[in-house]
This record gives sequence, C-alpha cells and structure tokens, in this order.
Amino acid sequence: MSFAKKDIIYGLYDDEEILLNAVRKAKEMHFEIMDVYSPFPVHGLDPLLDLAESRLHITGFVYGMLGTLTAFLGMTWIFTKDWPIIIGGKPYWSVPAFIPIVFEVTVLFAAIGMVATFYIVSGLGPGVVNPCLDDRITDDKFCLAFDKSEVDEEEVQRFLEDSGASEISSKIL
Amino acid sequence: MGAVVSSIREPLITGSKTYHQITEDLVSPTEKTPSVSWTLGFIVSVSLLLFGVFCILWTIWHGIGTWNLNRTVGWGWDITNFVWWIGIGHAGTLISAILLLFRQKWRTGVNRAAEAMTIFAVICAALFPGIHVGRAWVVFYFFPYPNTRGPLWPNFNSPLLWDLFAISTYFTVSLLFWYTGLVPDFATVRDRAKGFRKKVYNFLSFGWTGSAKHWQRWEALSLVLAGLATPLVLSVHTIVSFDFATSVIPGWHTTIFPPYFVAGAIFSGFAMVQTLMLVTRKVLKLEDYITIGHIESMNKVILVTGTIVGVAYLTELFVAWYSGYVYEQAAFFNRALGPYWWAYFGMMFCNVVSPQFFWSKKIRRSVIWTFFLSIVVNIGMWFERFVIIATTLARDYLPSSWSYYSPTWVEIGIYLGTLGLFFTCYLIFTRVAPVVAIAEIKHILKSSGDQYAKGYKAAQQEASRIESVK
Amino acid sequence: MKNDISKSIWIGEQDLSEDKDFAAKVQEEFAPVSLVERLGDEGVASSLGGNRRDFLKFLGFGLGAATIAAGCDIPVKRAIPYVVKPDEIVPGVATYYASSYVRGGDYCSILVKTREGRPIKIEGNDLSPITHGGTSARVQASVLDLYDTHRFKHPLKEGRKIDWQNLDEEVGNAFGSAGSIRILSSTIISPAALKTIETMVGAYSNVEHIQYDSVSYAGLLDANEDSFGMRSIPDYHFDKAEVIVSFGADFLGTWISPVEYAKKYIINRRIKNLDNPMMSRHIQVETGMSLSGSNADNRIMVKPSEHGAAIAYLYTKIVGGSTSLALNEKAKMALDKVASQLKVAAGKSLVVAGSNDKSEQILINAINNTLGNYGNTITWDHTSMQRKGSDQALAKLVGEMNNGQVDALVIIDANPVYDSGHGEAFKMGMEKVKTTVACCLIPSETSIACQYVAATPHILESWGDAEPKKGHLSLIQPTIAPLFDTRQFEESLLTWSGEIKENLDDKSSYYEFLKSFWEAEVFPRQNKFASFNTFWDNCLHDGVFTIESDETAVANYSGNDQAALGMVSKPSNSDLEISFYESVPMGNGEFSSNPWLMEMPDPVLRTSWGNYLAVPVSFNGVNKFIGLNNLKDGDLVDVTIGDKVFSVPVMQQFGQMPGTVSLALGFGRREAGFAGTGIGADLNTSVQLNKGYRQYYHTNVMVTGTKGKEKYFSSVQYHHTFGVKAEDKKSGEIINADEAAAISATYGLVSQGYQGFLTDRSIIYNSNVNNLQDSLAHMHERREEAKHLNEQQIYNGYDELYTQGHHWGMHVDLNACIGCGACTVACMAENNVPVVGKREVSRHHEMTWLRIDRYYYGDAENPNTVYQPMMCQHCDNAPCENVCPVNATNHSTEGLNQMTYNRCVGTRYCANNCPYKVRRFNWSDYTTADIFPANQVPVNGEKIPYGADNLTRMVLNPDVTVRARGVIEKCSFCVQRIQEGKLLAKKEGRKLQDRDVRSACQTACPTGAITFGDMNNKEGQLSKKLDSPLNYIVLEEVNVRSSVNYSMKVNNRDENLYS
Repeated sequence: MSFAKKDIIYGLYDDEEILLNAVRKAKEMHFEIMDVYSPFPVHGLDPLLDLAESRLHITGFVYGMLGTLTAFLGMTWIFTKDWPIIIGGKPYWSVPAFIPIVFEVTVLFAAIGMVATFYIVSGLGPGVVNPCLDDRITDDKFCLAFDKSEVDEEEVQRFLEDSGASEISSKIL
Repeated sequence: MGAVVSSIREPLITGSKTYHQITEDLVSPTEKTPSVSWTLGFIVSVSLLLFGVFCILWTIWHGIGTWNLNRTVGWGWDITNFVWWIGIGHAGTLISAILLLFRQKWRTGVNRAAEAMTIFAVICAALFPGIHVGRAWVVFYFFPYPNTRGPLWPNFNSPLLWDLFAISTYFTVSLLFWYTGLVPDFATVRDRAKGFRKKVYNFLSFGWTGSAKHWQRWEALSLVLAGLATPLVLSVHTIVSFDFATSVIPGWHTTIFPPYFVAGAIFSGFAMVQTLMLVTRKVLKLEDYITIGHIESMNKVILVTGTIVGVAYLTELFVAWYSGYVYEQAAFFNRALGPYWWAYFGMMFCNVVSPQFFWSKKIRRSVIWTFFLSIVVNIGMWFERFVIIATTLARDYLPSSWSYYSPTWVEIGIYLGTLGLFFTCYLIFTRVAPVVAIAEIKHILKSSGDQYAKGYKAAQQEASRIESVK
Repeated sequence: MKNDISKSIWIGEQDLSEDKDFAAKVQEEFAPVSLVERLGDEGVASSLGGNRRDFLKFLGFGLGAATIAAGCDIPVKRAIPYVVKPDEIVPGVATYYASSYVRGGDYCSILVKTREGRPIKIEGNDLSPITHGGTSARVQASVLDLYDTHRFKHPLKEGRKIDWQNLDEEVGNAFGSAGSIRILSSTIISPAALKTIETMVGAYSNVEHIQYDSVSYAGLLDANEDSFGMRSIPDYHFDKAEVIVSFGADFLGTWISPVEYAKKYIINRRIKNLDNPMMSRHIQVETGMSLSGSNADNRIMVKPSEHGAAIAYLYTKIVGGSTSLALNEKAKMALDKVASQLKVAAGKSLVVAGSNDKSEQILINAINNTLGNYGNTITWDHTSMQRKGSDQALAKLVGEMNNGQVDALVIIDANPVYDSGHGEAFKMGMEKVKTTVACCLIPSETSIACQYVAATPHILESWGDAEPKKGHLSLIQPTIAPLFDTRQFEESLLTWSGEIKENLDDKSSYYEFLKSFWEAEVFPRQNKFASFNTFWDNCLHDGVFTIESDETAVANYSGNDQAALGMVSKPSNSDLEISFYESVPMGNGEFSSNPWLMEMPDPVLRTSWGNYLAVPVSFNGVNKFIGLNNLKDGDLVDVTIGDKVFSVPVMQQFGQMPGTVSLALGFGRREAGFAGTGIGADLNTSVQLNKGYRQYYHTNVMVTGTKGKEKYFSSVQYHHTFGVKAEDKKSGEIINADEAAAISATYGLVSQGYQGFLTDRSIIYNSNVNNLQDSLAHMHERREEAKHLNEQQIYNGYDELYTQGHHWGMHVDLNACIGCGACTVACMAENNVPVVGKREVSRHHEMTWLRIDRYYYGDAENPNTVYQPMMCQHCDNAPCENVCPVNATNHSTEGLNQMTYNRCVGTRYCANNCPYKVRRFNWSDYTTADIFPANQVPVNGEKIPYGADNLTRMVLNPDVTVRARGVIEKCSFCVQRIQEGKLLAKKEGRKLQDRDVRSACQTACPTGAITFGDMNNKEGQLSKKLDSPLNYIVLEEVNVRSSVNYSMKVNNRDENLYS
C-alpha cells in the first residue's frame, strides 16, 4: 500500500512459468521489483522476491494460549471464588469438566486473532479500495511491476519485452 | 506441486481449460439471470422456510405443549434435528481442512460449496437449542457475561453449555475460513463487474490485489486455520455426543459415542455434499470441475465412514450383552425390538447396508446411484439420531414411567422449515459467489488439468490396448 | 361484627366506640356477602388479561376480609384454634384449627391449616382415637370443594335466586299445609343435626327421616339387627387379627372407615422382629383387584354372583351344615385351607364381607361367632354410626312418592336421583311431590330437580359435631366466614320448625343450638370436666372427645344362620359377569366434582378421568399376555349390561377373575361441575334390587371386541408387571412371563414392549416372610456390589459437608404403604400442583410431584402387588444438576436438590437425565399464570380455564411458587415446611425436632409409611428407620446417592393355598 502516488511500469504475462523466468532474470539484472500480482499463488516466487516466511502461525499460537488462560482461569475464578455452587456432588473446581470449553475457547481466540491479524497487516478489509494495475490480473494475467522512480525506465522496458511479456504499460497510482 | 501428484492420476479438471475459461465458467453463474430450475427451487425453499417460521412462532406462543414430548421423552424431533444438522455441517470443514492437510487436490472442486453447506447447516442446527426450550425468551441465560443477577454464571459442567461453546466456535471458524477463501474469488468477480455490482464486490473482496505477499500470507493462514479446524471439527461432534455420553441413562451412557458420532457426522456430511454437488454441477454445468472422479472419491469416504458407523452399532450391541448390565441390555433390546423397532431397522439398512453398494466401481461412478444413495444415507442418519434420543428415553430405568412419543405437525413443520432455510441460503450462495474456488482450481490446473495429464492418457491407452489383445 | 366490648378482637378504637357509620363501612367492606359480588361476577374471573392483578387484589382483600371475618367472628364465639389464638393471626404464619371432615358417613378428624384466614390445607388430627392423624385422598381434596366455582352462592327457587326470608316463608307455608313430610338424607353422624331433624318431627305432622348410603350397607346393618338385635356396625380390630379374611370388603379403600382400619391393619403387617418375622395373613376373596385385594397376601378369585356361595362354603366348613351352591373348584380348595387356618387362629381372626346381602352377612356373623372373634377382634363398645342407610326405607319412600303420598320432601346432602339405584323412579316420584327442597353445597342431578335449593356452606364454613362411633365425639368449627349467602341445613330445619324465628340474619343461631345441645346432652355423659365451658373449650381445642365407659358392651349372637344359609342366592351360570365397585377417589359420585380427585389415578388401575373396564388378562402359555376378547389397554368397547349399552375404555387387569369384568361406580355424572360432568359411564342405572337390597353386580353382560382406541387414554402407567411368573405350556415349568412376552412384543402405543430383566432391576425388593433371611442376603449382596461399583469414581463428593448441619432424607416403608393415594393429593394441595385434565394426562403431561407406582409380581394369573411412592430422591450426586446449563437446579448444603424456577430455561435435559423420572415440565400454562389465554388448556372443556378464577386460586399455598409455563418442577421435600420448622426451632432457641418438619405426604399417610427427617439427627425417627436391614436404595448402582430409602416389601403369601 503506497500513500504517495507512484508512477509504475509493468508487464503482463500469460503464464506463471514465463513470469517466474522473468522474475529470475530481473533479479540477475538487479532491478528493484516493486511487486508481482497473480490470479493465484505462484509457488517458487517467494524466494525469488526474498519474501520472509510469514509469522502468522506464531501469532496464532499466542492468541490460542490467551484463549486457554482466559477460559481456564475464568471458570476457576467463577466456580471457586465468585460463586461456588454444589453441582451434582462435583467439587467446585472440577477440572475435567472444564476441558471441552477450554479447548473451544483456545481455537476461537487463535482463529479470530489470526484472521484479524492477516487482514490488518495486509491492509485488507471491508471497504478498502486498492487501485489495481489491470483487471485481468485476477483472471489469467500475471503482472510484474516496477516503480519508475527506482529503475531506469528504458532498461526495464527492454527487459520486459525480452522476458516475453504479452503487454507492457505504465500507470500512475 | 506437480511432483507431488503421480502423473497417471485421473485428471480433476476436464475439457482442456485455460485460466480464462475457468474464470468464465465459474463466475458467469453469478452474472447470468437465474435459470427456471433455480427460480422454482428458490420458491419452494422459501415457502418451506416461511412455514417453519410460522411453526416456530406457534410453538413460542402456545408453548412446548404443542409438541408431543412428555414426562418420559423430553427430547424428540427437536434435538434429533439438531444433531442431524450438526452432523451434516461436518463435511465442509473436514473437506477443506483435513483434505488440505492431506494435500488431497480433489478437494478444490468441492470445498467451497461444502464449506458453504457447513455454515448453513450449522445455522439450522443452532436454531434448535434456541427454540426447544420452554422459555425461549430467556435463552440468553446460557451466555457467560457479567450480569445484574449476581452475576449469575452458567453451569460450565453442563454438556449443553459445552455445546454452546463448541458450536459457536465451529461456526465462527468455519465462517472465517470460508470467507478468507472467498476473498480472491470475489476480487475476480469484482474485476469483471461494472457499476453497482463492482462496488458491492469491491466491498466483499476487501480490496484484494493478488500481491505476492498477500498470497503468501493467505496460504499460510489457510494452512494454520486448517490445522486448527481439524481438531475442532472432531471436537464439535465429540462434545455433541457428550450430551448423551455423560448422562446416566442406559443407551446414552456409553464411551463409544465420540468416535461413533464423528464418523456418523462425516458420513452424513459427505452424503449431503453429494446430494448438493450432483444437483449443482448439473444446473450450473460444472461437470468439468466436479468430475466423476470427485464423486467417486467422496463415495469412497462414505463407504468407509458408513462401515465404521456399522461397526459402532454392532459394538454397542455386543457391549450391551457382554457388560451384563441389565439396564443396558434392556435398553438395546428395546431399541432393536421395542416399540421403535422400525426406526432401528430403518437406521441399520440406510446406514450400514446401503453404503455397501459402493464397493462396486460402477455404482460408485454412477451419478444416479450416488444421488439416490446419498439421500438414503441422510434419512438413515436422521433415524440414527432419533433412535438414540427418543427410543432410549422412552424406556429407561423405571418401567412405571415408560411411554411412547410421536411428533405433532408443529415439530414436523419446524424440521421442514430448517430444510427450507438451508436450501434458501444455498441457492442464494450459488448466485452471489463462485461455487468452486477459482484461484485454487487455477492453482492445480497444471497438475490436474486433463490436457496436462499426458501420463494418464497413455496409461488409459495402454490399458485399452491390453484389453483388445485379450 | 357486633360492637360489643366483650369481643376479644378490635382493630382500632373506632371499633370499640359506638361509631355506627364506621361499623357500617366495615360491614360493607368485609361482610361475607360482598364476597358473592366479587366472586360470583363472571366478569372478574373471565377477564384473563388482568388475572394476576385481580388475584393480588383478591389476596389483599382475602387477607383483610378473612382476617376480620375468620379472625373476629370466631373469637366472638370463643372458637379456640389448635396452635395459637386467632387474635394472633400474623400474615405469613399459618393458623391451625381442629375440626372434622364429614361427608355422608365418611369421617375424619382434621386440623385445618389457614393462611390469612384462608383454609388451604387439611392435616390429620393426631389426637383422634379413630383416625390417629391419618387422612384419605378424599379428605385431603375436600378443601378444594370450598372454592368450587360451581357452588350454590345463594338460595334458589326453580333455579332462580331467592332470598332466605321468602324461601323460609314459602317452604314454611308448604310444610304447614303438607299432609306428609319426608326428610331424605345420607347417613348423618351428627347428634345435634339429628336433634334438629327431631324438631321438624315435632313441628309438623307425619314427618319421617329416611337415611340411605350412596353405596348401600343395609345388608350388613340388617344382618346385625337380626343377629344381635342392634342395627349398627361393630368395632373391627384388624390389629388384633392374625388371619383376616375379607369377602370383597375393600376395608383399606372404601369400606366404612378405611383410614381407621388401615391404621390398625398395618400394625400387624410391619416386620418388627427380623429373626422371627411375624405378620398377619390377609386373604381377600374377590372378583376384581381392589385396593385391599392388592394388599392381600392371597387372593381367592370368585365371580360376583359366587360371593354368596363362597361365604356359604366357608360357613359350612367352620360352623357346619352343607350347601349345594356351585363354586369354582380353585376357590373351594383354597377356602378349605382358609377354614383350617381360621380355626387355628380362632379368636384371633377376623372375617368381613362387603356383600349387601342380609343372609350372607348373617353367615359371616355366624362364622365370626363360631370362631369366637366377638369380644376379641370384633367388639361392640364403640359401635360405628358411619352407615345407617336402609334400602327398604328408601324403596318405600320411592313408592310413596310415586303414589303421591308425599307432599313435601327435603333432601339433605344426598343425590338420590343419581346414586340411589332408583334414579328414574325417584325422579318421576319427585314430580309428584308438591314441595321439594334440597339442602346441598353444589348442584347435582337431584338439586336441579328440586323446586327449592337451600344452599349450604362447606363444612369448613360450618359449625357442627359428629359421633362417628359411640362415645367418640368431635366438633366441627368454621375456619372461614361463609364465602357465599349460604345457611347450614341444620339452621334451615330449625328455622322451618320454628325453633328460631327471631333475627334470621343472625348466622350464629345454630352455634347457640349446638352449644346448648352439648351442654344438655353430651356434657352429662362425661365426668372428666366439671364446668361446661372448660369442657367445650377443650373439645373445640382438641377437636375430639372420647367418653370412657367402664362396662364393656356385650352382644349375644342369636342369628338364624341356618335359615340364612338357605336364602343365599344361587350363582348364575352366565359366562360373563360384571362387578361394580366403589373407586377410591370417586366414591359413588360424591367426589366427582373435585378436580384433584378426578386427576388422581385409581390406585389399582392407574387411570384417571373416567372409569375403565377392568378385563381379565392371562398368559397364553407361550409368549403373550392376552386380555379378554383380545382387548388391549385403551381399547374402546361396548359393554351391554342388562338392556343398557355403555361405551367404555378398557384396562387389562391382572388378578381379575376370568369370566368377569369390573367397572367403577361414581362416574357419568350429568350435573357435577366442570370436572365431573359427562366423564365416564354411569352404572347406578344398572344397579338392581335383590331381595330388596341393592346388588352391585350384574350377570347379564356382554363385552364386544375393540371398537377402536379411546381418544384420550388417560392412564399414568403403561407397564404394570414386575417379572410375573407363569407356566410354560410346552415345558410345563414356571417361567418369567414378562421376559417371554418380550420376545414377541406387540408393538404400538400401549405395547407390552420389552419386560425382561425387570426382576434384576434394583427398583423393587420383595420377599415372602418365610424366606425373609434369604431374600435379605440376596439384597445385601446386590447392595454390596453396587457399593463396590460406586467407590470407583473420580470425585469423592461432599460427604464431609453433609455430615454437618442437617441432611434431609426420607424413608418409605413399602410394607406399610397401601397405595391409597392420600399422599399424592396432599402433595398437590401443599405444592400448588396444577390439574391438567384428561387430554394432557393422556399425553403423559400429568404434573404430580409424588406418584405411586404399582407393580404386579409373582403368579401372573393371581399376582401380588407392590406400591412404590416415587418422588424426587434428592440425590447427593444428582445427575440433573450436572446437566443444567444455567444452574437452575443445584444442591443445598443440607442435601436438598433445589429448583430455581425463575432461572430455569426449560431445556428438559434434567428430566431426561433423571433415572427416577420424577421431574415435571410445564408444557402449557397449567396454572393460568400467563398473560396469553392461548396457553391455557381446558381441563374438561370449561369456559374459563381451571384455576384462572380467583375463587379457585384461594386454595393456593402462598408459601409455594406457582410455576409458569416452560419451567421444570419437582418434589422439593416441602422445603417451605423445612424453613418454617427451622425458624420455629430457632425462635424457641432449641434444636430441631422431628415434629417441626414433616412433609405433606408424611402427615397425610394413614399408615405412617413415609418418614421424613434429618439424617444427621441420630435420635430422630428417621435415623431409627434407616437402621433397618430391610432398607435399600432404588437404582443404587447408578451412584446418584439417593436420599430416599425404601424398605423391602414382605408378604405372607401361602403358596399352598391353591394346590
């Protein structure tokens, strides 16, 4: 997500294989790749773009633990401190009976937390409008985009032609 | 990923699709005006739903006395339907989660619809605990929130409360999982749409761009959610089974229930998926994405789980006899040969016998057979829940209190109403969202598209050649 | 309220001063008459919308009015309440008055519990030497009649309102000009009332008083006159008898004085010494299964027409002579053995018969005489006055009426048009009588046929006395001022006979009469008190007074039994006979207007709301129980009796004589309020006269096959047997017929279903007294197993907690329980348990907190019976508590399983998880507490849902919540009484004693089968009972730790009797 307007040059490819080669080339030629857009996750792309592995699962674990504690301590407090009631001859603090709820709350917290985190860090969410370079990116085109301010426009132009981009164009976003 | 899949596997996408065709095929149903069959189905569903709403209002106004439950049988159709729907609600998450973990590519064809089904089924299920109570206007007592009544908390020892937590968690997680999967496809729809539709789908797609980083996070999220959903889906029906297993009533109080219920849930869930998918692929012309191969794989699952359920039934009978516990023995004798013998044998036939037909590859791959048997199985699973709940209660410890139960029109009406609700939701879903996960299909096109599956074609030819030689 | 200073109550000094208009205000505000407007007005009652508010308004009013009325009027007359003086009436504190329940000849000495001046509950009076604090279902339910919306609210003429002055004038003139006046009444046991009738005899010419009983005992009375020269009923000492033989006399259920007899009977039925267990043997010779029969050790089955033959046969065996009367072989064989056993127990035996045939009763007297029972088990010191009716006199009256020889007829507290057996003839006769006056409480077939209705108050609004047995006197005092413009019949008679002419509006005149009568007639008979006032006060306080007489009355037997032997009627040879019996709750229709009794299931049949035809059921020797004509429970059949056809539903009745059917009297009322009208079939029209005596069976009867199912089959128990045994046709050995029947169980609504393993269930333990030790060993083995299992648990419960403070528990002695059902009605009264009606009962929606399960065991053809009162067991490991999601039910530190109604959401999970199935759910708005009239199910097609009117609600116990729709309820161990008792003990600064806390069922029980108390109180009654090795816990192996102990059912059956 870019706040300042960017002048972008990008090429559209028809197939993820071609895209991958192009990206590989672009790296060899030390072009600053702004971003790659694709209609589906293209495997093998992340290392080329040296994207760090996502840490979502770690956050998931943290949220989960939070849930575990909330549920277990909550029930413990309610049944032993806040309002102890004799129920069916069970002790106030009947741990085995707590297990199901503890588990469910754990999962609930983890799931909600992770999804929320995902949308927030990705800057996605209801009503968010992200300008997109080409409508066909979500259909069958694979897009390799460069920020003109960071690369030499002619070189990139030439590079894109060579790498087999079906279309090349520029846009100011 | 190509490496993972053996090249002689049957293709999951036929008709030599290109990426664009996939988009065309899967998005167009949301763009065209509804077909006649859709419209008819919708009218029927909605009228059923309205009748159900009427019956619910009737119940709340006149009291549970309008049902035929009695001093001995406190739960009948209400909780039977509840468990039945919950069971159906298990296939979706199972397909999307467990099959994702097992890297079963064929899930991509059906997971979207299956998850949708899950969500709608859980909605139907969640309805019953709400309305089966004597005082529906105070059900909020269930929720543990600080209140002015003490605060007075719910009873965390009660399996019914565990249910509340399990089902709400399951619903939430399924919803998130499903929607997160939908976001990229909504983006696809958005980018083809014009005017107001574009605005709507822009909102729904959360501004998805398809950026590499997003895809990476998206995949990570899907995987971890799947990891969470797997134990969850198993826990939900386990907890539902605790409603009975933790009681003291012979026929309920059995340790076999959790696995037995889960198997039954998957069983009925897949059957319902079959029923729906067979109709959907016909009506929306998705034969290329939901292939006979898909159907066959699901039939295999039905066969396995059906057999597990069968074993569970027999185990129950054996244990009843072997335990030497008179109440247990009497309870199971009554189940099989008591006043409700018809329900028991209906269950036995539909759940244990009927799936065995799937041993035959011909039947497994026959659309008609599959459709018919999937419905039989769902009837059977309804019987199973009825047998467990009503039959067991009707004759428990004290012979003086034994009684019999049969529903009133109100109870039947509410059940029909939930069917209406379910199909109404599903039909709307087929109009607003791609019923097959576009991105995922595109993702596996290279590995599972027929035009790429040379090895498979070769194998086929080889096989036919050998045939001809013989 | 007269403003005399002598009055012991005054509300303020205006009250004492002569402030006329204040007095007037008080009058119009609180005068009972104003109640009439408030309650008679349909508007109030039918406006359901404002029900609760009206109710509160009424409560407020009731409190004021009743406190003033009951609290002021009575002390003016120096009525003395039982516990505290009424001028100490405190809102929220109950006041008890000693009084008596009298209905026809039925009698019970009672305490009336009033709250804010409203009588709400009846308890037994421990001081009574007759009932010893016991009650019956009828007594318990009688308080509801006080608030019956169908009561007469004022005198009537031709069905239209008339005021007393005019009525008295017109009736007085009519009597004056009448050539002959007849006063017809049910048996009157009140000396003072009889005196008032004498005044009539004195005042007018040719006055006769005829008494008759709705179920006739004339045969017995006439026989005694013949044998002993006195037309009365002797004192039966069931406690002194070792062998009791009853020929169809249901002395535990309906015969003469059941409460008294049950009390005595049970003394010899309890096991006192375990090492050498002894108990009396009770042999019942009867047709269908009666309450007494179900409690008997051996039953000898005879056809109704064979009763005479059976008596004659026994007579020949004991006294001598010979009889040619045919009798079935089985019975003969058994009676031979019975005869020898009787001879062994000569002087310690007792033979009674319910027959209404003079000659048969003479033979019974002869038998008892020969056995030397007179003076031992039968005495004449305190002869019973509870039945005096004469069939001949009744028949004579009917004749006179039809010949137009009767000018005026006064009918007191009787319903001859329905129950006299002369119904039609009597009705026609009444049309020939110039003046007919009915003195009664509620409309009946008779009252609507009378010109004048002199509305009488309920017994709880009346003054009176009773002498049920010679020398046993008791008083009746009002516990509330008359709710309506009514007048006691005694007072009416006094008025008409001119005894009291002045101040007619003064309701006190009969009180004055009564008092002076006692001063003149009763006071001299005793020598305990010197001053009459102390005597009177004492009697009023105790409710009873016994006149000791030193000399024992002797009556020498001088019966002409040989002649009688010849007069015994021959058994018919018809292959189907029907026997009419008086059902325990209904009597012969006197009680059918009472919803509580209508809803109370017949103890033996377990059906409510209607009379069900009991048909014999037999084991087919292979695998089926087959009813007569293949009839199943709930089938509708046409029964042709003589020339009349009735369509009645069927119940298969174990122990019913093959070739006979039984049907209860007292149903099919045409005018009996909303509860009784049109329920069941009226048999009185089929009662014939035999040698001038009403005969309660019919030999010309046909029963069709099933004509479909009854629409609302209102039985509360569908499975009746507990592992009955029968002979297998092939092998010839005795098998568990229940189990066999299961193999080919007939499916459907009323299926026998699977009955196997029942005998292995730890629900009922029973034994024969002869092998008691073995049975005990077996039981204890089972209990040990259970205990062992119960130790395997992850939690160790709250034992240490329950050892401190109170731990409430109960003990039920299955040997003492005769199944009469008094406790169930008492529970309804105490705990505001709603009446739900036939339709709801048929859907198993009955709300009873306490039910009495009835199982047959032993020989399938001729079984024994066990009654098991079943209520919430207050388990310490209560399964219901664990499963309630909202904590609506949980455990008190005193071991009570508590229900919190306003927290209950109504998932019914607790009810499902209750092994004893004692939790009840409010399916509809049975208490009519809800604002939607749509929720309220009519009990018997009535316009205003039952209980929706303020009058009926006056009976509600203010200490117990009235449950709304959609919540679960159940037995609370009468927690309100527990709290009351604890408070009392605390106020008096002492430890809690047994007497302080007694549950409603416990106080109601005539045999003391139920003991409630604190298990931690080692000195208490309960702890003593709990020590008995006979005890067991139902479903012990489920480890719910029930707080209710049952004691093994022991019978003294003689297995050789039939071989």
